[in-house]
Amino acid sequence: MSLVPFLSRRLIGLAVMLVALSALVFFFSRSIPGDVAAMYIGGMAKPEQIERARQELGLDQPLTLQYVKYMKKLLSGDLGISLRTHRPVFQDLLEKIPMSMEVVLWAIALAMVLGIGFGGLAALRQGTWIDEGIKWLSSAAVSIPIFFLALLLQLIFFNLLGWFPLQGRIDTFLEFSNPLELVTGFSLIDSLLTGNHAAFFNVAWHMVLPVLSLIAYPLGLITRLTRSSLLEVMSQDYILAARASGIRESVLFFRYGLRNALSPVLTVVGLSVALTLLATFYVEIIFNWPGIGYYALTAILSLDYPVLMGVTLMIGTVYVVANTSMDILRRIVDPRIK
Amino acid sequence: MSDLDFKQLAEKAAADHRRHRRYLLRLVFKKRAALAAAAILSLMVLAAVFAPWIAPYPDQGKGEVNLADRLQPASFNHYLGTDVYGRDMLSRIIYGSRISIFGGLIIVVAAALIGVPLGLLAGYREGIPGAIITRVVELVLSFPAVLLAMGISIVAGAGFATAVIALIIPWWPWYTRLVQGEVISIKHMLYVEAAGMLGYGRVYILFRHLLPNILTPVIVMMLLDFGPAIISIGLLSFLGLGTQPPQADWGLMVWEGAPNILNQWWIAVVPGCAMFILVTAFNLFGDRLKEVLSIDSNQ
Amino acid sequence: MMKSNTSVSQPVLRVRNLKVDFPSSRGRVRILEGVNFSLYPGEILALVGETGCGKSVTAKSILNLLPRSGVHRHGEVFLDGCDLMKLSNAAMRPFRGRRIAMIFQNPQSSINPVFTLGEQIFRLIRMYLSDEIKAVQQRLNISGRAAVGQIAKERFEEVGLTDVERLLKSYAHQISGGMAQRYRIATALLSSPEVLIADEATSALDVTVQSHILKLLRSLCRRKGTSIVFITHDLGIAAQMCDRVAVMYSGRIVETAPTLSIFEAPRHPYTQGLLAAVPRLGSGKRLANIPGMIPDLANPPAGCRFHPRCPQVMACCKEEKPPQQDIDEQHQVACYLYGEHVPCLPTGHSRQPQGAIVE
Repeated sequence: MSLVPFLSRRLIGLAVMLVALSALVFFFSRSIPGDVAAMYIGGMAKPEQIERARQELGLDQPLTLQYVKYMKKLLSGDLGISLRTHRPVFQDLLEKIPMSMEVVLWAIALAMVLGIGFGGLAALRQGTWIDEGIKWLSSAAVSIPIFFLALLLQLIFFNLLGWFPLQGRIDTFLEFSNPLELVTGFSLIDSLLTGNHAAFFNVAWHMVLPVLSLIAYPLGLITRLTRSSLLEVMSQDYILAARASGIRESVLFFRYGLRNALSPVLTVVGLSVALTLLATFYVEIIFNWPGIGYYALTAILSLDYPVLMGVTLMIGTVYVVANTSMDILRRIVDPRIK
Repeated sequence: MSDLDFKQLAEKAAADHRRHRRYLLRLVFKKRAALAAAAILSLMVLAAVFAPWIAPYPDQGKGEVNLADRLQPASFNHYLGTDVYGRDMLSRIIYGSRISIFGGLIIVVAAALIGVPLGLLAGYREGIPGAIITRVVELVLSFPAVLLAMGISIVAGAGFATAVIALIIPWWPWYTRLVQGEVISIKHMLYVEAAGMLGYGRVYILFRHLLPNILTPVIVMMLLDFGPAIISIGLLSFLGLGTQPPQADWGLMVWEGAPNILNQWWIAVVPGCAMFILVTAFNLFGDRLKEVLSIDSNQ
Repeated sequence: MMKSNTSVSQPVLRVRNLKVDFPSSRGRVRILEGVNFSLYPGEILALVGETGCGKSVTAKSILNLLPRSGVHRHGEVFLDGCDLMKLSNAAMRPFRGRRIAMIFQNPQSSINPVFTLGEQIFRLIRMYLSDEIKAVQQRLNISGRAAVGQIAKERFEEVGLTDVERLLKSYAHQISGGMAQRYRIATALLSSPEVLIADEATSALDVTVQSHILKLLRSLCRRKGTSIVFITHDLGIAAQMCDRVAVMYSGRIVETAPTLSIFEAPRHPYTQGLLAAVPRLGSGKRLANIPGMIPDLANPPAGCRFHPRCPQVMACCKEEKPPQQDIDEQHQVACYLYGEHVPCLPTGHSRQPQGAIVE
């Protein structure tokens, strides 16, 4: 089966969605009361200054024309200039995305591995105290609001036990003694590449609590789904037939059952990427982590519409890319999916 | 067979049905966790309804500042301590539960009221109406719900009502999708087709045969959606995009307590725990109901 | 006490007094109530009965494949003198597939959908046939991998599957029901097991495909010396396919006899009823049916479970289960009508059965 028609269909879908989304955000954000030009100048601006800024930004033109111009620029990777910081949005995003993705990818990868493991274990030991315990923990994990969990972790692991730092990405003194060099933007990879071990361990140490906060929800979701999906699979005819042909129980479970149960789990992993990206908004405020969430949130609250557009389009893209890659994985895992 | 016989048969079937429903309910409560969850839920709902009579300081619950008693830990005067403005935490929690429970209820019910009829239509008329509804559903679901809600809240101006509406908008398509799938899977079953051949009208078939069959999964989904709905309201109000101060709202209370988390931890932890307990109770109850219903349909 | 059959050889499989209960919402349900039968080398035994009489449960409990939670099994299942009921699940494993194989009703759903047929049969060949792999390797001077492929090819051709290379790369949803069942037969007979349990093996197939599969099964098993327990609800197939027939009703075997005598001279009223309900071309008679419904297993009738539907019911039938009795050496029936030593008074009087009770 060829992936090309599937991928091109997805790509067209992505383009359509991005156009719809950008239009939605553009007209929405511009319909908010408030003078964009005044905000661009900031503080005490004279009317003629504001008028000049208005012309500079093309705000005196009709809204639809502005939108068309914006989309033209978008195609060349120009997302406009932030009204607040006056820096190109594209550059800001490029700088911030790796910092957030580093945390998000760790959380998703761990949640996936642990979730499938715990879910499998619970199904294998169905009805025992292990199953009950995992069921309770995973229920709790999906019931706790992310912002509360983050604060709770700070309270316990910083205030009470003192094991992990309260916030930030790296200790201040290390920023001077062993500064991070920018290679890929992923601080753990960069510090390893440049042989900066002190920074590596320090960043990893700072990352524990944010990752723990982000893990909870996807971990609970994946665990619950793996358990129920696996139990469903284990009651199928082909498992009974395999058992009747003398195949070892462990092979039945972990090779046959898990492979069959994986497809719905992968869908949820895809959905979790976007949810976790959103959860970084909260985690990054609470842990003062300089990533995309922090950046987006200040933009949301100050109505910095070019940034708002950029972030929305980026999240939309990540959402579609994550779902598409999980769909590709599902097609590899399960040949029945057309 | 005479009319009388049919009537007796129908009555007997109805009685069996009622008995079976009672049996299922007993089965749900056989699990102690589900019983405990139901008890907690009823207590919280009662507290929310009778807040003015139950809260020790109803005025502070509504937002009255009491600077003389700022940041006090738990005591006999204030069972859960006081917040930054000296307000009794217990009263704030009780008043805040109104927002969470009421908001969650509106979101879930409204999402079902919009989503279910559209799903029925999309499933029953698979042609153009079905295609249009499916496209809209796909478009809305292809974007993270909370982000969409954030955008809507900003544009429409922050407040409890906008937050709730902003959450209903990305929420209803889930019900449409569920119902559409169910309808398509049962509408070709013999008894439905037979009703069509007997000359019953579409509307009659829709409400008489299809609706009762999809009601159970919809109710289960509504129960299981309560928790996420409450958390989503919290997510918006934590950012100041929901209920505005001085009204009590759990998400907002956690936000107000966050700067003091290291010293006066209870200001953030108490509303956080309240939210956690309420959501867990809903999830436990919903899970158990789903479990019992799935056992039932397997038998 | 089991009377010896005419056949001089020892049975390969002997099931004695097999009882199974399941938990249910209305208390424990006794699905099997003491099932007895023997299977002789090379023979095909039909196990017939209505849906829900316990045929499949009998098959699954021989291999201990019933769900583990809450199901109780009692009795003895001897394979070659070894009581399988006493074995743990792990100790059962060498028997499954290698010495007792099983094929199921729906061939497509009993093939794992996410692995190719090749991946699945290769695993089984490596599990069962390590000696043969070595032999083929030496004979053809090829690698172990190629030898496994060679064996798979031979076995596929044996069951009439052509275009083997493509099939080995196919998934279950890409092949027809008939092909799937041929594949299942190939895997089940890989290690030339002593016993094959075919649970409604052809019921899901088209009638034309059905007869091909039946012929194939019959000839292959003859060749490999495999005996078959052939479970079916179709009396026609049983007549065409099997040497002996055991009729089951509500958890018990009520009559066992060679195929010919079952069809010519059925003894048990239930068997008689079943046969009368089979449509016959040109007989001109109205089709009879057995009045009443199959019993509720949670609350079964006392005594003979068939008595509420039996046209010749007697008082004693309502009190005590009728023991198995011999009509002749090969024909056993569990009914008071034929007890030489069990005088039974007409309805209205009751009397405890006495005298020699077989089993």
